[in-house]
Amino acid sequence: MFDAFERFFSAFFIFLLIACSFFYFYRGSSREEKQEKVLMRAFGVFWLFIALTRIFFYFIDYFLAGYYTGNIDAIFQTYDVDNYILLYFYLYLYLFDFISLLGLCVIYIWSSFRSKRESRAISYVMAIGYILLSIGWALEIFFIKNVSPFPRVVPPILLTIGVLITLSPFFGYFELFNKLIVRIVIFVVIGFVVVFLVLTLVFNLQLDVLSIIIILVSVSLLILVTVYIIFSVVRRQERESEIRKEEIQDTIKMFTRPVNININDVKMYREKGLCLVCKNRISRLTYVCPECETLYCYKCSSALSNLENMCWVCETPFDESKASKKESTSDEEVIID
Amino acid sequence: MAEFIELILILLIIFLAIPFIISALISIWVYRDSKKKRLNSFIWVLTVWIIPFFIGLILYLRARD
Repeated sequence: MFDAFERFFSAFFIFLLIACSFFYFYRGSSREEKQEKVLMRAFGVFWLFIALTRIFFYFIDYFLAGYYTGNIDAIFQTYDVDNYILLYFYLYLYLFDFISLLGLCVIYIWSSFRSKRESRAISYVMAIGYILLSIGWALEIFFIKNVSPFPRVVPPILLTIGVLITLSPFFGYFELFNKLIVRIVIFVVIGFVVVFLVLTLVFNLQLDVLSIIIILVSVSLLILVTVYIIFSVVRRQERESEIRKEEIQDTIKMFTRPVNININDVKMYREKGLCLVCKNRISRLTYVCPECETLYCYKCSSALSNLENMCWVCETPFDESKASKKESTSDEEVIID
Repeated sequence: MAEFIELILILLIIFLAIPFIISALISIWVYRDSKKKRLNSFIWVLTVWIIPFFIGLILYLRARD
């Protein structure tokens, strides 16, 4: 019955719960709005209550059986009134916590649909954390624990991961996450839990070698496919952002003057009816430089007249009423001199 | 053994159903009332839900007055 790993993770979970409750109390005291303060402190009380419940569960065996058994259903077979009172309290606390965790799952799933865009990611993450906590808690109910095919260490591990996930919004900038990243996070967490449960099942059940190999191969394939999907999505996202960046750079580059423009280039552009700036064929409105007869499309000429206000070839101003870049630089030079 | 399982099931239904129904009813009432009183309903529903032994409800009743 005694499992050292289970005991270790249970103790670690209690430690995490206490740390978590103190953290919430601390956050509550630093909040300025009264209602937020109340909520933070409420969460502090909640985690502390669960920690105390766990401590109660941890030691109840010692009171009931005199030594650690981890087998609560044996108590049902004894007809001692004190034991039944303790058991009643045990069940009440256990189910109260379970219902609270389930309720928090529902509330956060509901708020992930209803809340603002920037806090939706936080709601999703919190919902995942509470779902893991609920699964871990449900697997620890004594009569499920006894018939469960999972090793006894699995529920405390799930509980520990759940608490860490519910704490993560305090340390990460989840409001900056877009929909895609949130989906990937959800996918990875659910995938990790499924793989973890499958692997523990494989090693816990006494299967023949062939079925173990089949399960391991299928799980490995699942992991590979998952990793491939994630990487391809991330790469696609990166490529899209690069293209967008290149487009922006090109657009900016479009309005930077080329270093060497010779008369042949200008002739070629004029003959082909291309704009010197954007290199597109000019179809409708055209601007022709009165000095060098260089062609500009309407969009580029108006953009250039706002930017530097001079022809790229002969430096004649597009708009006489505006200051050109050449004039302004020469003015500056005069001032400096 | 069958009697034992039956007892567990009855106990479970009672233990699960009663606190759940009471908590759900209180939460619904808090949600509606906090909206009427223009308080943050999300915060107060969470507070009432997670603080055990109806302490959350007492806090809410104090806050609304």
